[in-house]
Amino acid sequence: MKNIVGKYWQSLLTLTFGIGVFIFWYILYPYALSFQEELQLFIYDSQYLIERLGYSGGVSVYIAEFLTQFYTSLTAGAIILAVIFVILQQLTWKVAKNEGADDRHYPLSFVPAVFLLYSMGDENILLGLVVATIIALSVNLLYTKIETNRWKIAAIAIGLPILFWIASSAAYITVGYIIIREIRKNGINKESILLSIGLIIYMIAIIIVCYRMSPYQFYRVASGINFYRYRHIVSKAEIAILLIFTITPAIAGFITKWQNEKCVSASKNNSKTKGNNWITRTETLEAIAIALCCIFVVRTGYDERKYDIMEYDMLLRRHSWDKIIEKAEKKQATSPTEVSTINFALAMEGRLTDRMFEFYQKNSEGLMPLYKRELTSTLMANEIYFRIGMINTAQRFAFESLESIPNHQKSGRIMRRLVETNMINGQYEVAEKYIKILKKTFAYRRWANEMEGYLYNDEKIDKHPFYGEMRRFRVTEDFLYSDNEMDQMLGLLFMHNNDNRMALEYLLACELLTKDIGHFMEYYPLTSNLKGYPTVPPRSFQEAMIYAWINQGKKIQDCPWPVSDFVKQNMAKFGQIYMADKNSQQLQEGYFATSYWNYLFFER
Amino acid sequence: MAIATACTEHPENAMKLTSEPPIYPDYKGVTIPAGIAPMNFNIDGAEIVDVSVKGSIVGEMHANGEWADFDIEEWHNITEQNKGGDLVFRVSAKNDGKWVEYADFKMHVSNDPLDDYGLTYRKLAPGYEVFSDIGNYQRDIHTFDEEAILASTAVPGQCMSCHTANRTNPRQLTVHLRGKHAATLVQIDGKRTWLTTKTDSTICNCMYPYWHPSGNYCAYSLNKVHQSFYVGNKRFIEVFDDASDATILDVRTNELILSPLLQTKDCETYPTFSADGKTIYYCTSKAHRVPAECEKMRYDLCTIDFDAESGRVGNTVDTILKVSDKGHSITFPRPSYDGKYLMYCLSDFGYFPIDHKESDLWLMDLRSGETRAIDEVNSEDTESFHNWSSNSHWFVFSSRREDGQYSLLYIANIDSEGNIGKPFVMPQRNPREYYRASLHSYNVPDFTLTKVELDARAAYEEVFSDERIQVGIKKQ
Repeated sequence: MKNIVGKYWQSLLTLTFGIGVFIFWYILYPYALSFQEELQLFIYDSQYLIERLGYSGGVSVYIAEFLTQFYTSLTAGAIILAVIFVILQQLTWKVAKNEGADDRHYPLSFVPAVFLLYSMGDENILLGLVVATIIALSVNLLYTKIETNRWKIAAIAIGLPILFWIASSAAYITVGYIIIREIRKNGINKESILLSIGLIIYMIAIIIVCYRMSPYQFYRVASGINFYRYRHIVSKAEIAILLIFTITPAIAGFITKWQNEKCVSASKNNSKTKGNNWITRTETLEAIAIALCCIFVVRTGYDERKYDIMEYDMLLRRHSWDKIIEKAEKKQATSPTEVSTINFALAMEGRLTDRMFEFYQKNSEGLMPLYKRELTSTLMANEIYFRIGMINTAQRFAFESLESIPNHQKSGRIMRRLVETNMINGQYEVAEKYIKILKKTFAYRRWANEMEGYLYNDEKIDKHPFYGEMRRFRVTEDFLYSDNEMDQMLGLLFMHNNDNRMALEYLLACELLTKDIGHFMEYYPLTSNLKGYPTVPPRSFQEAMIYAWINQGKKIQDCPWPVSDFVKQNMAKFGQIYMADKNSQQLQEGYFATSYWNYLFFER
Repeated sequence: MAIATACTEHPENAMKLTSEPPIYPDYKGVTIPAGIAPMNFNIDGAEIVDVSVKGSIVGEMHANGEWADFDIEEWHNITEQNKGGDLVFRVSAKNDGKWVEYADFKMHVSNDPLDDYGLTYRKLAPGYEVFSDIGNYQRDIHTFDEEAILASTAVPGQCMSCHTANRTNPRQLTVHLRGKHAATLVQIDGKRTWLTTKTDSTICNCMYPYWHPSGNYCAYSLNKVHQSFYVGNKRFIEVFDDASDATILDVRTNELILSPLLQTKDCETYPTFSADGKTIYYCTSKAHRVPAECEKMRYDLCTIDFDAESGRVGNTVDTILKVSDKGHSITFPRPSYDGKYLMYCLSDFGYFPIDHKESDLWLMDLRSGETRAIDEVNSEDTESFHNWSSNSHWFVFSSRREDGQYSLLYIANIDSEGNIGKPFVMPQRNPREYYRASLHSYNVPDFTLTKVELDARAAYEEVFSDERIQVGIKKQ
C-alpha cells in the first residue's frame, strides 16, 4: 500500500483535489452555481457567437458561457468546475516541470488553482477568465516545444495577437512566462533584455490595435471584457490571478534549482542526510500549507452574508420552501430580502400566520420588499409579487433585475418569468419574442416549446392550473403602485378575487407588522369570504385579537372572538410580567419570544 | 449545400391565390422614397420566397431565397427609375414542398426625395428605471449600416438622452446625460462643451432640447421627473413632473434666458421653435398633486414670441390649442421646417405619451389652423416621438403597434398637397430575424442630414472628468 501511495502520490493528490473542488461547489456552494447560471443566457445561434468573436477574449467568454449553461444541473456544474480546476493544476505543473521543477514540489502546482478558488468568492469573477487562463497555460506548453530562436520569434509574432484575441488579458501569463523562461535559460544579458522589452512593446501594440477596433475603453480591453461582471471595474483579484499563474511555475523551478545547489553543497560537506531532511521538511510544509489553505483560507473568500442570500435565492428559485424554513430556523436572517423570502416560504407552506413571529420581523418590507436598484433582491422580490397576483409588478421587478445585470447579459430565469407575465397579461407577441430566444437555449428549450403551445390561446391559459389562477388573481383596474399603501393594494387584490388566500394573509400580516391592530380587526372578518379558511384563527391572529380586546379595557375572559384559553392565559401572564417589569427577561423567552406581543412591544 | 440548392429553386406549377402574400413587415401599399434601403420582407412558414418586382414606369428585378432579400444597387436603381410610380411585387412561396403564387401588391415610390443620410435614435430595453444596454445610434437609411454614436459600451453606467441636432444637421447637437456624471453636452462644429445647467434660479438640469434655426439658441425644458408604476394590467408606467419650466440657452455665452412666463407655477414643457425662429411652441398644464392626481395633468399648446436678435422672450402667451377641457393632452409639438405644419401627440393625460396606448399623432396646418388626427399612420397602440426630415416631406415616429411593448421606427411621406402615405417600418436585411429577436426599443428618432461625428472615447474621458462649465443666467 505504501508503495502504491509512493508511486501514485501525485495522481492521488490531484484526484483528492478534484473531489475536494467538486464537494466545495456541490455541497458547500451550490447556490453560487445557480447564481452564475441565472445571470447569463447561452444562445445557440450565429449572432450570439459573432458578437463574442467580435472582441478580444470573446472566444474564452463564449466557451465559458457554454459551460456555465450546464450549471442548471448542480452536479454537472460542480463536475465541470472540478475538471477545470484539475486541468489548471495539471497545466501549472506541466509548465513548472518545463521550468525544471522537481517532483517533490508537486504541491506547489496547486497554489494558483487554490488561489483562484479563493478569489472566486467574488462572484463577479467570471469563468471566461478561467478558460482564458487554461488557454494561456496551454500556449506556454506549446512554446516550450519550439527550439530555434527564429521559430520562437515567428510564433510570437503570429501567435501573440491570436492569443490576445482569444484569451485577452490571460495572454500576459504567456508573455510573462516567455520572459522568465528566456532569462532563466540565457541569463540576464543583452539578448534576453531586448527580447523582454520587445515582447512587452509588442503586447502593448496588440492591445492598442484591439482597442482601436473595439468600442470599449482601453482599460477594459487591456483587462479583459467580460472577465469581470462589472465592466467598468478592473478587479485586483483578476490581476493577482494572472500574476500567480505566471510566477508559480517559475518559483517551483527556482526553488528546485536552489535546493539542488544546497544539496550539492551539503554533500560536499558530507552531510547528505542533513540535506535530504531539509528537502523533506520543505515538501511537507508545502503540502500542509496548501491543505490548510484549502480547508480554512478558501472559505474566507466567500462572504457569508452574500452567500446566504444566494442560497435563499436558489431555494426560492427551486421552490424549496421547507429548506428555506429549515435554514431560517438554524440562523436568524435579518435583511428584508431574506425575511421576505422566509415569510413567502411560510405562506407557501400555509404557515405564515402561525409561525411568522418565530422569525425575525421588522416591518411590512419583510412581506413585500420595496424596489431597490439591485439585482438579487429585485429578482427575488419578483417571485413574491408574481405568486400573489401582482403580475405587472412582478414583471416590472423581473425586467428591472434583467436590466441590472452589470455586463448586459440576459437571464433564462428572468426571461422565463417575462414569458409568464406576458402570457398571463395576454401580451402574446412579447411572450413569443422571449419564447423564440429561449427555444435557442439548452436548459429552457423544452419549457419554451411547451409554452409555445399556449400562445394566442386564452382558453388554454385560463384552464392552466397555475397561470389560469394567476390570470384570475391579477387586478384588472389600473392603479399606481405605492410603497406606502401596501395594505390597500393587498386589499384590492383580495377583493378582486376572494380565492386569493395569500393576498388576504399578507394583508393581515401586513397590518400586524405595521402594528395597525385597528385595521387588522377591521379586515379579519374578510377571512370568512375565503373558502375553507380555518374557523380557529392562527396563533398570531389570536394574539392580536386578545390584545385588541384587553386594549379596550375589557376582561380577557369576556373576549367574544375565537381565542384559545392557552393564548388567553399567556396574554394574562405577559401582561402581568410586563406591568411589573418591562425589561423582564421572561418576556424574551419561551412562548413569549415568538409571540406577536413580543414584536408589538419590543420591535422598534 | 442544402441552402444553396434551396435558394436557387424557382416556382413550378404554382397554385395561384387571390389573396396578397402575408409578408412581414407589412409593406403592402406603403409609400417609400427612392434610394431607401431595400424593403426586404419575410413570409412566415415559407421555405423559399421568389419575388419579381416590376416598375410601373420602367425596370424589373428579382429576389429568391429564404426571404425577399433584394440587391441594394438594383433596388436603388429601380426605385430611382420609378419615382412617382409604383413597384409591383409578384410573390411566390414554397410551403410544405408546394408553390403558391399570391396576388400582386404594390409600393408607391414618392416623388419627394429623402436625401438625408439617415436616422438617429436611442436604443434601449423597454424597461422601467434601469437601462443597462443603452445607446444613441445612427443608421444609414439607404443601406442597412448602423453604428453607435454614444453607447454604454463606451460610456458604461451612464443614462443618456438622444442627441438633438439642429433641423437634422448634426453640425450642432446637444445631448443630456443623467446620473452621477450628469451634464448637458453642446457640440458645435466638433467642439464639445460640457455644461452644468442647474442653477439657483432653475429647478433642475436642462432636458428635451430644440434648436433655434439660427443655431445661436437651444430651448430646453426643466423637468423634475418622477415615475410610478401601475399594478393593473392595462398600463405599465406613468412618467410625470413634480414641476417643470422652459428655458432657452444662448450657446454663444452659455447663459440661460429665463422668462417668468415660462417659469410659472404651472408646468411648462417641450419648448420648440417655429421654422422662422420667431415663435416658441410649448405645452402647459395646471400643476396637480402627483402621482395621486397625475391623470388631471393635461397639457395645452401655447406660443410665445421670441426675438433672436435680442434674445428676448415675448410678453404674451397664446393658447393656440386647448384640449385639456376635452380630456386630452398635447405633447411633443414638432413644427415642420418648411413652416407648413405642426405635428404633435394627443393622449388622454400626462406629458409622456410613450406609455399611453391611446397616444396618436395629430397634424396642425399652421396656415389654416386646422388640426386632424393622422389616421393614415395611427394605430391601436402608441404613436409618439415624431420628427421631420430636412425637406419636411418625410416624418419618422415610433410606434408600439408591433407587440404593445417594443417601439419600432416608422417613416411616412407627406406630399406637397398634405396627403400622407402609409408608413413603413425601418427596413432591415432580414426583418423577421431582426425585429423578432431584438430586445431593444427605439425612441427619440430623428433624421440626420449627414453622418453624426462624435468622438465617443474623448466624450467618455470628458464625461467622467466631471469638468463642466456652469451656465449663467440672463433674466428678463
